[in-house]
Amino acid sequence: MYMNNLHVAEPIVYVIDDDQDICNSLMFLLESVQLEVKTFNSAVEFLAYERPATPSCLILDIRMRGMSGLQLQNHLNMQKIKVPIIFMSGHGDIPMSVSAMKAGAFDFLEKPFNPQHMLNQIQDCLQQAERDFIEQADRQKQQAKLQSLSPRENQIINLLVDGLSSKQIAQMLTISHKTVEIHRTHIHQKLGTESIAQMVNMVLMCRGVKLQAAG
Amino acid sequence: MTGLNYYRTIFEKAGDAIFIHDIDSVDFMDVNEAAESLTGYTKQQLTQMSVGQISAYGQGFNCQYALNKVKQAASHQAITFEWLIEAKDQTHIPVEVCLKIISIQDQLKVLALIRNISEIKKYQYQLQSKDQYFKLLLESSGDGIAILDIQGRLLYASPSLHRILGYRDRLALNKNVFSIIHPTDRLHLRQFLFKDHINGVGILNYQILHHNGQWRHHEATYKNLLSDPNIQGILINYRDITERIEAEHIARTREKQLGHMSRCKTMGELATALAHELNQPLAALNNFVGGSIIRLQNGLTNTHEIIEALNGALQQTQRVNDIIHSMRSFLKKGEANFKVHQLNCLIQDLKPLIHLKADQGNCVIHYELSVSPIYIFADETLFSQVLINLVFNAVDALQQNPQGQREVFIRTWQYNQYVRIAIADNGPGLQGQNPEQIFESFYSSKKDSMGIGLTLSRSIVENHQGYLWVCEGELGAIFNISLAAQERAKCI
Repeated sequence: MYMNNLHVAEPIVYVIDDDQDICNSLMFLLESVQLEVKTFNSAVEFLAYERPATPSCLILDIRMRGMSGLQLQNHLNMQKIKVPIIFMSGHGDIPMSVSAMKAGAFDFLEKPFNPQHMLNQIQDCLQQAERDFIEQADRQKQQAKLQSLSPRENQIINLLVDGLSSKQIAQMLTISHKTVEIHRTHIHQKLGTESIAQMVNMVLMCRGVKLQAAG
Repeated sequence: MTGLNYYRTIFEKAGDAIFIHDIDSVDFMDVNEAAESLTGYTKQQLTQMSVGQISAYGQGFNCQYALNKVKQAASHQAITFEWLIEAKDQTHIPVEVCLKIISIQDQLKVLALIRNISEIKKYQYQLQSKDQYFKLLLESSGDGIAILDIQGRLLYASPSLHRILGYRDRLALNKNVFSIIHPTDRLHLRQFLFKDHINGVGILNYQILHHNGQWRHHEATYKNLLSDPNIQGILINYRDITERIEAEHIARTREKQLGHMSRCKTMGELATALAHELNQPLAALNNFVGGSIIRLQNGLTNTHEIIEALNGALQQTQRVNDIIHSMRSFLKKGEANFKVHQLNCLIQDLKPLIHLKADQGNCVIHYELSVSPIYIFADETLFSQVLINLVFNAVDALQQNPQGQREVFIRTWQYNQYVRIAIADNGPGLQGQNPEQIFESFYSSKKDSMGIGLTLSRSIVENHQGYLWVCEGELGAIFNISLAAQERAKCI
């Protein structure tokens, strides 16, 4: 309901493998379907790169010199950088694939993979990335709206989300019922919401990613 | 008459015994003093005795024999022969008899000059017993002794012939020994034995047919004594070394099996890394081919792009090929195949294998190879095994180092007539281990190792007439190999 009116930039596929031939050949494959590709020979190189704000996914070799694929995944999770990852492995390593999947990997492909299968997975992965990207953009917008609330309005919206009525809030804050109603109107205006349900949904969504909605 | 007395005195006092015999009866006509002292009888007694009575009758010396000799003497100028006298005290005295027919007062008489040769006989006997002694030595000696003539006929064989080869010497004598030499050995044996230089000496190895029908391995020393008048042949000292050869053969076979096992084990350890290494180019290959198909299907491509991608694919198949080649030549099983190799090429071929291990162990390998090519005479599989072993050991030892500080140096250079190889690492070094002990079988500092790697490596290097040793370097251990350098010319 929020995403339709957003303009989404072209997605980028990041390929990270310490084998240059894998990088080059994947680039050739992905460019065959007009995907934008950027390759890196190490996790460190990738982290140093200033990524444009656009939906993206990672094709990541699990076993690399220096920082391994799993370590990079862990690092991104810690930094709360949400980017879907397709892992590649030179040799099926079940414990590794399990931990990668547990840590939220999109898929785990064993080399040599079927090129078409890889492309399908990338398309699926990018769709998710676009959804994530839009959600993320949306969430940021909503968060900005929530942050525009005054401390009093913030106080009141939290009590509303907790399920209290205007009357109960007025009693709790020892202000008049009328004043609470005026604040509610202002909150609706600032957040662009029309119902209490929409308002609660917005707050919970922002809380879900632990934004400082609670103030 | 004074003249007669004069000769009489000479006759009486002569040092040798003189007997004068009647030419018909051989009875004594006259004897001198020396004859009396030799026999122990007086002249009186002797002139009444016959030859037979002072002869060792039991030994075949009798009247009849003496008569024959006298008759011989009558028809010759003089004859000399040996006789055995039995003296009065029954001792036997060997004498040399010189018979001559003389005419005294127109009568033919036999003059016998008798010389006591018991001293000479004693020496002869001693010599004979020495001969016996040597003969006994030869009989009981483990080695066989034979003398061949220039054709290869057996002139003499010591009695050990029977023990060693099962033949009776009297049946074997004068037979040509080449008829029982293994056909593959005949030619080179002839060449060696009858090389025209005199007093040629050497060692031979050949197979010879035992009387029981088995081929036996012999080792022999020979000496060409054709020009030596006492021998006039080729003297051969031979011995059966079949058991030794067989033991050596078994040992070699076992070593070969062990070598192959060890190589398989190395590959087993590398299986995961190997699969990874092969999957890598296969994946890239798939991408190039898959991408080309998609582009061609979409019609959104140009020839140049596709050709570039397909060349990329070809490179990947080459990569796979290199790995498989490196692995296959490493695992090759079969007879040793010694050839002249360019050492640096040999090492280049091993790079894919070395890098598998290095990647696994997070090590960096530095190649410091000689700028100009150097050549060694080696079996590729075996020698590669040594190099792989040493490099892998270094990588294993480096696991004690923190990541990022694991380095192996592979150096090659030529030093005078020698090719030198050094595998150095910056690991913990020997840590007080005895540098020789680490080459012993089943000695290993690694938990999961059989410890045959270094023993095997050393034995392989020694089979290449080279040396393998370890020393402490500035940073870690250095394993050194020294081999004879080869000429480029032999390479083809």
